[in-house]
Amino acid sequence: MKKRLFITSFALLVILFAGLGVNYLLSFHKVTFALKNDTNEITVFDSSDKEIKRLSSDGNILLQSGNYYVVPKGENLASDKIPFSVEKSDLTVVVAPARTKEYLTNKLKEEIGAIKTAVAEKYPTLINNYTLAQGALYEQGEWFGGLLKPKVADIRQQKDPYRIVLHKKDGKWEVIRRPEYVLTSSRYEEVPVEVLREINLIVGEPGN
Amino acid sequence: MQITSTGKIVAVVLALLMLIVVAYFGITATSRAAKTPLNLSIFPADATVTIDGDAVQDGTHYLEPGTYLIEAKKEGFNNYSKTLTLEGSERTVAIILTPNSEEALEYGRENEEEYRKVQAQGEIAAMEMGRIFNEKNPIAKHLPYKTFFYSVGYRMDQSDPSGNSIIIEIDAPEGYRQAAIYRIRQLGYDPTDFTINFRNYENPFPL
Repeated sequence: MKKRLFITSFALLVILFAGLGVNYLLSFHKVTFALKNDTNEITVFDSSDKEIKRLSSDGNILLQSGNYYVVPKGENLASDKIPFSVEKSDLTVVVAPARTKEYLTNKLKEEIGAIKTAVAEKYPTLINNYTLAQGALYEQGEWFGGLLKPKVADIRQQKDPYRIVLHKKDGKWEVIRRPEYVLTSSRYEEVPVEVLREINLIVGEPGN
Repeated sequence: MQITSTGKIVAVVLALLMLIVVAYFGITATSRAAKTPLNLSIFPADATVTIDGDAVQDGTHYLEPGTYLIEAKKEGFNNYSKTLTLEGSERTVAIILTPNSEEALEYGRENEEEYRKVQAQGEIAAMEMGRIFNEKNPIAKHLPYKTFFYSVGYRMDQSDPSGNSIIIEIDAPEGYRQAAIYRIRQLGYDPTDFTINFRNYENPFPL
């Protein structure tokens, strides 16, 4: 009787541990990393900032459900954290970091002439009433956003600035849609939402 | 202990019954997985109701998240049509057909209790809609916001069949529109995420 009880208990324990083992294995999901924009290396961290793995090319690792982030490395690439979450299935994380602010600032000096020309060509008469100011390049330098400040003769004359966005395609700058006071993702569907957020944060001087 | 043959039969039958019950609940749970319960009530109870053209009865239906056309009709009553978007949380739809004939009015008078039951479901449906709207548009509880110079309000976006989208309405003269947008930021929201309409405003830049 004791032997039977022992065998039954042992069998139940084996089943329990086998179940726990299967459950543990099933909690891992394959996360594939696709490195874009000249990314040389990425480091994967968990939510407690513990380094998990480094990859120097496209690859995959097994991760449990939870929050993680990637820090990319590459020439002129911003090393901002790229967060991602692993839930109940396999996942592909596209690591496409933007360029550094310094790189984009220098690049803007080369591009600003062509950008102003593109705006003037699009609005040949209206542009005389506005000044293109506080512009910046975004992402890889293919997006430009800035303020069109109204030229006012009298400083007491209250005017709001318009925000403008341009995209460089096949080496040519093009105005995307038309300038607005605020750029919304519902209206500017083709522009990355992070770019729109940044452009909307450019603050115009009151009264200009 | 000796088990009799009757005992064996009882044990087998019980085991089979248990298996059937487990299988039933298993199949039901699987077929309802990732589906949304839709509680449908209708007055009059014998009206013809369809969801995307398929005839249904009142009661609970388990549907995939998506947009559905619910229609109901009965002779002597006005037809009913509603587009409903299911997004994961349980929804209640109470259909009360309005009478357009003397017979239908008489039916209503004779079945007042049935009418009240469906009306009570309508109140639940309204509360559900209010909860979903507030979850989707937390900014709405801060609006309208008015100052001497500008106001920020909202209206329903008629282009969204779910009825849960809003358009932010800004009424501000030239020079104060940025202040209204800044107010949205102060409330903790990014204006990029909204559809915004400025009243009395003509964009000088052509499309």
